[in-house]
Amino acid sequence: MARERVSQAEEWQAWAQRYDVEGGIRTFESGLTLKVFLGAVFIGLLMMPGSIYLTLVAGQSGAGAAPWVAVILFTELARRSFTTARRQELYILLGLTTLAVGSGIHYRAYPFVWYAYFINTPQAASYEIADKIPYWVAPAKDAIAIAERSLLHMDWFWPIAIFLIMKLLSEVRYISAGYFLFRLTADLERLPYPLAPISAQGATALAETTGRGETWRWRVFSIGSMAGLFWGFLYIGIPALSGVMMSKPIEILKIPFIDFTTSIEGFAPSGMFALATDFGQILQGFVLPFPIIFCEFAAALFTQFFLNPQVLYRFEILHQWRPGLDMRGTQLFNNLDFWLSFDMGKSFSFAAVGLAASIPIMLSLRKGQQKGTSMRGSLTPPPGRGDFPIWLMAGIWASSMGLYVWIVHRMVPNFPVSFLLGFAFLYTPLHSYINARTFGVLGRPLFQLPYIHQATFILSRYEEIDIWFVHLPDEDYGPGTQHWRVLELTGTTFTSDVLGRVLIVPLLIASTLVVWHFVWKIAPIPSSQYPFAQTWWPLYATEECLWKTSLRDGNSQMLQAIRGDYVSAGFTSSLAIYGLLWMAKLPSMWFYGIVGGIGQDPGMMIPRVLGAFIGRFYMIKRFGLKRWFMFNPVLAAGFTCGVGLVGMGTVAIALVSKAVIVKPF
Amino acid sequence: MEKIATALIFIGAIIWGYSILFMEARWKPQMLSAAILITGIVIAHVWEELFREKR
Repeated sequence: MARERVSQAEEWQAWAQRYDVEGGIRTFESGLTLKVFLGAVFIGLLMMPGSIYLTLVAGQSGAGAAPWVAVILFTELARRSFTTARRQELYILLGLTTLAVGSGIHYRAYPFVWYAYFINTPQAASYEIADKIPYWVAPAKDAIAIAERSLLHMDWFWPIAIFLIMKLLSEVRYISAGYFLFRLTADLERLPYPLAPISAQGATALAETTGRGETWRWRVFSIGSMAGLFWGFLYIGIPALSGVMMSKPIEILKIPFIDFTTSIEGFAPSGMFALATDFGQILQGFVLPFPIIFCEFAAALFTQFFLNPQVLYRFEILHQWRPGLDMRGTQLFNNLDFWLSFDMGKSFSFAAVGLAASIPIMLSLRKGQQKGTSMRGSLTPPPGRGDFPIWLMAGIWASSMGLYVWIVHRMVPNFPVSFLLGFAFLYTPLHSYINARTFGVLGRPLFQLPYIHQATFILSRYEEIDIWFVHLPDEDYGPGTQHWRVLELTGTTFTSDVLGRVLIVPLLIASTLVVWHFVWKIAPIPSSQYPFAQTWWPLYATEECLWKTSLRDGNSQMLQAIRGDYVSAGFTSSLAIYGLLWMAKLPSMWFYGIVGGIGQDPGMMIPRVLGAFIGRFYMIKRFGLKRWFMFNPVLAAGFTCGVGLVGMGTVAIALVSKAVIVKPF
Repeated sequence: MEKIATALIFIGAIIWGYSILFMEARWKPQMLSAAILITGIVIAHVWEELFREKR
């Protein structure tokens, strides 16, 4: 019997409905209330200094689990006060506390103290960089502000002023472009965003605990949390706690993988196989579409056991591989020889296929509008979602980006403006659109052009060092699109989310600056007070010097690794696979699976594959398709929460123990 | 249109295979086949969205 053709749009629509456990019927409510805002500010400001401090001391901030802790605290307060918390409120709280706790934990996010250190390092002096650092990055190395370790000093006026303007403009760009791409990929193209329900269902389950009756969500969330606590203790807790007392921590399962690459080299030279031991990924396997996981795994097996050893190695395309190399070595050399270029090509094919699919959908919209169709599959938003005019958001992004390019041009006036415009208005939209689509289908970004800055600097023939200190206008708004889908799934109005962010961001920027000032006042950074920074910052300084001077002789190994023949092979072979699947009337999910899996390590996928098989062949039969798709995001959210809690708890115990136990050696 | 799209994709895939096997995977013939494939894929989607009779 002939297979019936299903268009890509219809296929995505079906998957999106499967992940939309409430069947797309919901009312939208504002999640921003005064108590949510004050709660986020309070918890954020309480935890953010700790996160910054811990990052400098131990290199781990605990920021991953902190928002969930905040939400659990909030729901407990609501229960004790005999009030209820709505899921919209909890999701907004989750978002705002994530912003607050994560603000400034990376030394690069608020780079003033880093540059105050870097400008005075022997590395910067020996590489002849120290005297060339622009005034808008850091004050002079003998400035009073640096000697007094103070950020609240006029010497920092230009660095902080430029930083504030850039930061605020970047918020505007990320909000407007993320929204624009969401409308394109979720509303118009109907991509399912398979990982979005995890956050949505987590907030929903916790909200239900404050109500009168507990539903299946809370039970499933609790099962997931207990599984997460157990797995987190086994996988993270035991190594962290045993590391306090023993010189070598006990690992029940080797973290993060067991390498079998040298074991398979006899029959699959240049192939790699490292078994991932994070079996928490089984939960991801439950959630992601089965055809994608299965095709990814099959393509990865084909790559590592046939393509690499029998074709690429035999024809000496993979010419740097040598027997005895472990997974990391094999991956590095194989990437340099072939896969780096091939992967770039296949990423471009995602954009080509996406445009080929979405332009006809837009054309068909005119027909649809005449017939009065709306909702998903069109650009007409659902009523009450709090949408913005799409042209307005596009205009805001374009103006903000234009202003950004103008400021960067003023900062580095001799750098060709055409490159800045190319980054801003060609590369960024393409990059973001591709990753928005891959997030919508696979739940992860796939497109990254390596060393694009270095390539640009070579092509521009610009030799001044100041360009290395500028944040070029290449941005990726793709991952941010998932956030809008979660808002939609939780029934939270978009306007309340934007308002929350607009209100909290200026507050966070100011308070993060003040916290960094006080942390710097406590002791010099790096110093023995901040062991992690003391260990790693000198290495980072050397690395930074190497990068900033890497093109002085016009030679870069990574740039030489990018070869046109292999890029075009990746591009064309992916298009051929898409075309042939279309001819055979097979689902386009297969394309994303196959192309996503080519070149990958199958061992890293095994936990996810296990989850996919258990879900497909046991759970669906046990619970039924609809119930299972209702359960699994809630289960995954509970699991994430459990692992996060145990991780945060054990790391805190380990840190306290290390602070008070004096070892006799 | 469906047949045109099928033919173009088929021709593009054949040229791509030929360029890999017999032309040392040089980028010019590959990009020629990519152009043919993209044309075929665009026609396929235009047909699906605008001209196909849906049940």
